[in-house]
Amino acid sequence: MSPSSSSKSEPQKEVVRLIGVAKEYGDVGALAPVDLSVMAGEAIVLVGHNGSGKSTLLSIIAGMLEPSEGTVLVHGQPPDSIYARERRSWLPDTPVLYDDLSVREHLEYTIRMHGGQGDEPIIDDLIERLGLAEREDDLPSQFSRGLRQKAAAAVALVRPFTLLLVDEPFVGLDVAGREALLGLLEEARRGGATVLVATHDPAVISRFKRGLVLDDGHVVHDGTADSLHAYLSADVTHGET
Amino acid sequence: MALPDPTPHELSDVEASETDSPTPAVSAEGVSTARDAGSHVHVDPGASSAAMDDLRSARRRRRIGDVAWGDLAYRVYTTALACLVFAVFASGWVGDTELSAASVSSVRDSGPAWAGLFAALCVLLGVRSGTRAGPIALESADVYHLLLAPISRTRVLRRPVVGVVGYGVATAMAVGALVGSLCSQRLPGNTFEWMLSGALFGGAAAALALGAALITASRRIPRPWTELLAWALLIASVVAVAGYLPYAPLTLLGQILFWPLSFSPLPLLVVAVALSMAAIGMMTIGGLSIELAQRRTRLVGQLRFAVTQQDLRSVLLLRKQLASERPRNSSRFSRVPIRFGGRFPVFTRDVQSFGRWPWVRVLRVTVLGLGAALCLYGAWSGTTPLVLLAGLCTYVAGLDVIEPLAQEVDHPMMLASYPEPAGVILQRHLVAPVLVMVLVGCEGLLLVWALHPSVNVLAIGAITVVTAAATAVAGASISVVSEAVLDAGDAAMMPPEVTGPRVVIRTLWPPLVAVIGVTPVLLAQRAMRLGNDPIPPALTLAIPVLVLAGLVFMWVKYREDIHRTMGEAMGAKT
Repeated sequence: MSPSSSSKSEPQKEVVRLIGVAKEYGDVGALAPVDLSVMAGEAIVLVGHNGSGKSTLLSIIAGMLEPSEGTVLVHGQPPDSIYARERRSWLPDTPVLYDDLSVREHLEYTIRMHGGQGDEPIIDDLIERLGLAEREDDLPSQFSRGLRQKAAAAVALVRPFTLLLVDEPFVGLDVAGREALLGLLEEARRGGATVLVATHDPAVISRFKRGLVLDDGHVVHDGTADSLHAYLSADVTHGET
Repeated sequence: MALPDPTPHELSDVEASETDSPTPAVSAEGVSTARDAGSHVHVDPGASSAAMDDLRSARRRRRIGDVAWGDLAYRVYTTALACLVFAVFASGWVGDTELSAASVSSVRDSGPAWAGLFAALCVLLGVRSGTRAGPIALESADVYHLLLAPISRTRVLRRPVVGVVGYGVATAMAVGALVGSLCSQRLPGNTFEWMLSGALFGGAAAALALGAALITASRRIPRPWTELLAWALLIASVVAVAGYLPYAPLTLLGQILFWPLSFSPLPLLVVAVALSMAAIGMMTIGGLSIELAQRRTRLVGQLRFAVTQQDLRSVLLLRKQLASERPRNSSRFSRVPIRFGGRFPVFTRDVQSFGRWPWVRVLRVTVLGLGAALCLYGAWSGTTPLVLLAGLCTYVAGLDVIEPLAQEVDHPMMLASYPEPAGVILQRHLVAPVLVMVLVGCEGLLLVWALHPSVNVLAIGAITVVTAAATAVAGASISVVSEAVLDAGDAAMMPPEVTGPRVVIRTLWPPLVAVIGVTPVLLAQRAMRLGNDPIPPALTLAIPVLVLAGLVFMWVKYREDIHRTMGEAMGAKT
């Protein structure tokens, strides 16, 4: 599919559009009907308690979950379309890697499947910056949780994308790895990508301009980072009283 | 750990004017460098597919390199040996005396309907598997790396689907050929013809079932409709077997198996339909739900591991998860004041657990209870082997009602935190399941009494309900409380000659206990045949059966103590 071949493939200003998207597991509602619009180049942080629906929301946009109701559009296309898959990268909260491919092989095959040659300098760059240089030829089955997370981050970042979805990326990372990943996310955003990050880390929240708060599947706050801080402070105070 | 300064490198929004131009992709040259504004993400499908093929080839090479050829040869040898033993055993069991002309005629008339019933059952299983993204189970990394990549999903799934269909059809053809060979021992006709027709029937039935599964999975047809259709096929086949219909749709397929007795080319149409369904399923598999595929991937992986560990508890639990059988969020009895002033917390917890059962589990246990009752009625009427089936039904129902105990065993840390010994708690968990099983037995008794209203049936049924309920829970509790054989610490130290029989005994003992619980019916039936009062022998046998169940319940309570004492004795000896 050529992006310039038809009107539907025209790059959209609106990268993500959710219209009344809800998700239920049996008789348990994970996400209440949500309407959301994310514009190109936005950097958004999703916060909320455990079970508030952050991961569900990201998984729906990533095409991993199907909404029980509502419509999801990524660049104006269904999330499981090839057009959307070409442009969206997804770093889930649990690293998913082949146990019989080394980190370097993961990166080479991933970039090739997304239009690269497999010998791009970004592979070495990511390996170096994420501190994987000494383990690049090892199998991830021998890795600790943190190393697996770094490898998964490299896989998500090595390919071209315009939308980056990241779910709890800092779990298990050491300080250096955390800083490296934050730097890479910032570079992705500066490169023009739209970035959505779900996290519990308050220090990370401050780095975003727009913040969404989810509570029990509802978007209860959508505003700037400053207003997000104010909201969260008020929420904590309210909770204490 | 010091948190970083919250303000540097702020992930600020891009300027509004920038978004008016085409969205730039983050480039492959580095995440820090955006491509020029006119560039787009664009992937060549051919190159992506080639990369995927290379990835798979690399993995296959690595897997082949890692194969321990000695182990593989041994496994092939043992599998072939087991198949041979089975074939010889089955051949001996079937015998080689040719059937009479009347029997051959009966087989010719009713055989296709029975074979059609088998095919309909396969289709139902296939459809049920398809509603859960079956029959393929991908690796979780394949779901993430390949199904989310910009490659046609039909292309990604082609190889695994062809593998599953090819393996399934080939296996079914081999089994069909074996069945054909067994048929040739007692039915007229050439052995080769029987094997050929058996293989064709097996292959076609497998293609039909797998095709139905793949189409259901790929077209995402709403589950009630596909299952309704499959159930309609099955019911029509049952009606045909019962003789109320001359033909069910799949009776035609069943005719293939009996071609050496009566040849007709018409069934080839069904073979064509079966092959077409398999082909359509393979061609349209790209419509598979990623959510269901991912869920299946995770659960099937765990399920396979649990099977290799002979961990029945985990197998059942994962099977329920695979079928999306989740407990209700709130108990049906949450508003019923079953508290007993807090004096029976374990019993209360068990009752609330039963109140959370999804309807499908309520239905399953009810059907199992009715099935056990009908089997016992069949045994009472003279078909003695049905006792085994009745016992197995009660055992499976017992595994369902023992769930609160199983949950306790699954959370040993929580169990250890209670202010009473673990054995006491576990034993208390047996009370409510026995009562539920008595209720399940009573509905079966009512059914049998409706079929055959007599005092004897009522009395013997009442005795059997009590013994069967106790032993079903006893058998299920042995299965749940005993650790998996391969998990047992001393298993690794034992030679295979000891481990093998141990596995067999451990696997068979729990259902055997459940079967023992329904044997009073047999003794009563024997007394009835001899013209004696059937109730006293049933009562006489009920006492040792209940003692056996009581011993198991005591074992559940003192198991840890027994193990500890034995361990200390062994330690002192050495």
